[in-house]
Amino acid sequence: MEVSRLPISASQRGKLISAGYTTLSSLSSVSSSDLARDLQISDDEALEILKVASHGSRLERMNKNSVIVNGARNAWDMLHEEELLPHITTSCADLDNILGGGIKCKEVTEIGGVPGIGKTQLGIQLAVNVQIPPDCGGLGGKAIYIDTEGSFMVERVVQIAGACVEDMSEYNRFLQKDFQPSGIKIQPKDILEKIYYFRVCSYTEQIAVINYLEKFISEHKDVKIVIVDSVTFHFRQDFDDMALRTRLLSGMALKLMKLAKNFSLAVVLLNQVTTKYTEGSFQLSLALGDSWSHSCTNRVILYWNGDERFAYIDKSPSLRSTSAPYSVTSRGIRNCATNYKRVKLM
Amino acid sequence: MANKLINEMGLPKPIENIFAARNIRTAKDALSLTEFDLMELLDVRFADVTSAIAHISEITCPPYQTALSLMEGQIHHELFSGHLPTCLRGLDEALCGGVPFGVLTELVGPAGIGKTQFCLKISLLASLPASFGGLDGHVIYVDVESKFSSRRLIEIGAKSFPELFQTKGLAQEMAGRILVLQPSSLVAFTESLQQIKVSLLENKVKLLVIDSMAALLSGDHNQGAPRQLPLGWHISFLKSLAEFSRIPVVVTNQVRSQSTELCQFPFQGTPICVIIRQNFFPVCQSEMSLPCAVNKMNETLENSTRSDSHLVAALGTNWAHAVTIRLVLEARSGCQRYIKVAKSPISPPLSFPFNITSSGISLLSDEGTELTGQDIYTISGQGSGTSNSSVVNAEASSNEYSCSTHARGDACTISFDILKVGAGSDEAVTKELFPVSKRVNGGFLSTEMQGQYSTRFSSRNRIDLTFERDREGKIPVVQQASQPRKKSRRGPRSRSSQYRGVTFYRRTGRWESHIWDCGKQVYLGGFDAAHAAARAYDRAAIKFRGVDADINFSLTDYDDDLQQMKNLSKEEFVHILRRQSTGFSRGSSKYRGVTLHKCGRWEARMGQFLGKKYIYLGLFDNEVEAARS
Repeated sequence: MEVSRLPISASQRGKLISAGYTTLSSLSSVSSSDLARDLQISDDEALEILKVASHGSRLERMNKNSVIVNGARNAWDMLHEEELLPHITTSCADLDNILGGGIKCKEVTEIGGVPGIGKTQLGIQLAVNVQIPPDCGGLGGKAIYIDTEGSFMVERVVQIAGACVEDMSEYNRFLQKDFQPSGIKIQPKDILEKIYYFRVCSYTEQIAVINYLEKFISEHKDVKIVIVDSVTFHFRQDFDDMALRTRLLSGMALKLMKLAKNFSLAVVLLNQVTTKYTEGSFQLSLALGDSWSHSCTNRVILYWNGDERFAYIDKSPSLRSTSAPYSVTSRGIRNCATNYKRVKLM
Repeated sequence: MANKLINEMGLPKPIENIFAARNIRTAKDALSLTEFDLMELLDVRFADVTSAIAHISEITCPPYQTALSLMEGQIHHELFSGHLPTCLRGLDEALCGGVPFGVLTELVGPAGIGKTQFCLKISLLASLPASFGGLDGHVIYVDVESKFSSRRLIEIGAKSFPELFQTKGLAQEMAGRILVLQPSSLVAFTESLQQIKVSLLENKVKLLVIDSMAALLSGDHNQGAPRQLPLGWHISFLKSLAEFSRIPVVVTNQVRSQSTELCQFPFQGTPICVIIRQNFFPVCQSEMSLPCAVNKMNETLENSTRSDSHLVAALGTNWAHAVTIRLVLEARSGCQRYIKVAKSPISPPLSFPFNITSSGISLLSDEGTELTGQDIYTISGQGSGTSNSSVVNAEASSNEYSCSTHARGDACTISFDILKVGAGSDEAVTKELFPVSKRVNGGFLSTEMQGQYSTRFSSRNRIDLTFERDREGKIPVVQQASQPRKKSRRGPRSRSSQYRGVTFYRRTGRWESHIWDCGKQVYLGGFDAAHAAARAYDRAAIKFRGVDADINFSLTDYDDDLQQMKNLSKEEFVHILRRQSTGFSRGSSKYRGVTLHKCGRWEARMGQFLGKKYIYLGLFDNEVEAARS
């Protein structure tokens, strides 16, 4: 491994190279005071460089003997862990089915669709559903809602939360038929209190929020879902430099993925659609371009099929590409009421 | 907050100086670079960069609120808990109290439907004192199309709040609060927007109306890419304006017609095309020789493409994503105007019938009908889109309008002015509207009109014709009233059409009729006009179920058909009906039997020919060649 790949500042790197330290192995046997003298830098800085270098060389060494790789886990353990991972239900059984139980924690899920299809509704529903307590089969977590479009309506959250509370008490009654009063009764108000809402007005703020989230989440425990509604809006409006946009977006996606992994929470990004000219006809596709489409683990597209709303799994490492109908009711996202096969023609 | 200066953030001095030396002054500059880029540029350690970025992010990050505090803030600190009531009770209930503060509300509809009327009314409401249900503030009305009429404004005010407007001086005060801007170009509009931003906070402005957004752009740009960019800035600016000053922003948008080719996600495919093809082709190949059939096919198709279009909101999907609430104003099934909530995060898709009276827009019923599926988005302009029916519709709607103006006497001229201006952007509609409506006012129908009717319904005799005219001339209250009575009996009822057995298919942009027979749905054909589809259904119903079947029109219309259908089997009769229907143009080509092949060439196929499902006729370089084969 070359010195030039170490995460150190440019001047230090220049000094290292000019003093003849070009590979990591050449650094491995040098003491910090020698290095400080050779490079004419302070001892502290030299120590810092050595630390970074030894870290890098350790990684490299580990890669060579692949028997026990530091930081890697074997697939069996991962499977085990994955099975334990909770899912956040969407309140629509069909949708949960195709998603393999709901929105997965530790993963980034992107949801896109035409205007008015119910993206925000799904976002709000998830922000409410994440708070279903464990004894009702939920996570009992909190939600962060990052609103870039201003379409988050508190009135609607109250409606959905109310319906969710009703469903939960129904479920409780179903479990314990003898009507014993359940210990804690959740109020819609409590649900509202556990949704942290950020209103973001420019892409700089959007990046800032996502940078800040790590700290915020470690301060506010139990955040189990981060919803960005929508990830697209600001990045679609004020950019001339598309390369910069791609760079910023991929940086943001990486950070979100790291968040999802570190805090084992679900990240849901809502995306808009755009029309794309391919093969001589206009087709709909999700916005932000092709390189962005690589950055999410799962991608769900919401669309109209005749008179019904459908969700389609466009991309997922573990799920089949299927679609399922859902509907948006006054109580939130629910199963499609009319689930019959229609015979169109003779 | 994006332009917050870094040297005010309280970073450690040395780091702060390095940032300044590299000309990274605002949070925007810093956060537009990745951490490694910054490290390279600033020549500092990685740890320093990450901590600095974390610090900048934390300060730049807007403060969070819980949803609860958000709700309490709205309830306690804002009038009407953050909504501007529209005085349309049903709509207010649907929107949780009215047009919400802080977001963009969009009105879409064809020319002359009442968008400006709605804007006038709502600006009046915002200027009223709080005791009358207003916001007691100034209104900025950006009038791009020069449609603003202060006389109409005062008229609406005087009729809806007589007690207030009869007080001397108050009318002047109310009208004085409404500031009208008339920018002539997008550049002028951009400038005035920036001025507005300043004056919003100083002058207690409570509402911003932009009528219309689409006119600004259509005046400035040709079609194509440049449209996207300047609009982008306006979208985010308007949204942040609404958000920061917590005022409602109402924007109107025009409609444009779009060819039926519906945009779809690539994975959706086009299974329906195949089915229809199989179903449709036996008709021509059994009856005619092949060239003859194709010729005829082309004829009908050329006819149909002319009218085969439906209305969509202008300004594209980017804009559609940006508006929070979209209200569609439309005239459906001829005469009745509807206002519907097409996109809203707070309310279900409801639709309310309305009319325009001297006191502005008023709802005919506060009970909204809930819409499902495609109905939510379709904007039916003046009916189904064919030229024939649009004449009827124009007649009917202007008839309704002139009825209300007549009742008002003096007010008549004023509102006609408005109508004229309102329809100004669409010459064709204006021309149709006026001669017809004058005739209606005069109390007689011209012979031309009769001519049109007789060409349309040639199968009927003259006596029936007058009956029909009367019926259509009156607003179809008759039909609506008869709905509940028929409901209990057999025959499909559709949500998208007032006719039995007729549904509007957005995919094709046409009215299609079906009938159920022996547990199967039988396709009867697609038509450009709802009434034509209804007639096909009627004929089929009479054939399948006998003369006492439930039908849309009167049985006497079909005397000729009765004779004809005696000699035919059900299948033959259905084939005849389908042949009478408009040719269809689904899929990628406007020609029947022609599809755009993956390789970019046109492929021609014929359905059910000589027992095979379809035969392949070859690939062609252009559509016309393919269709000829």
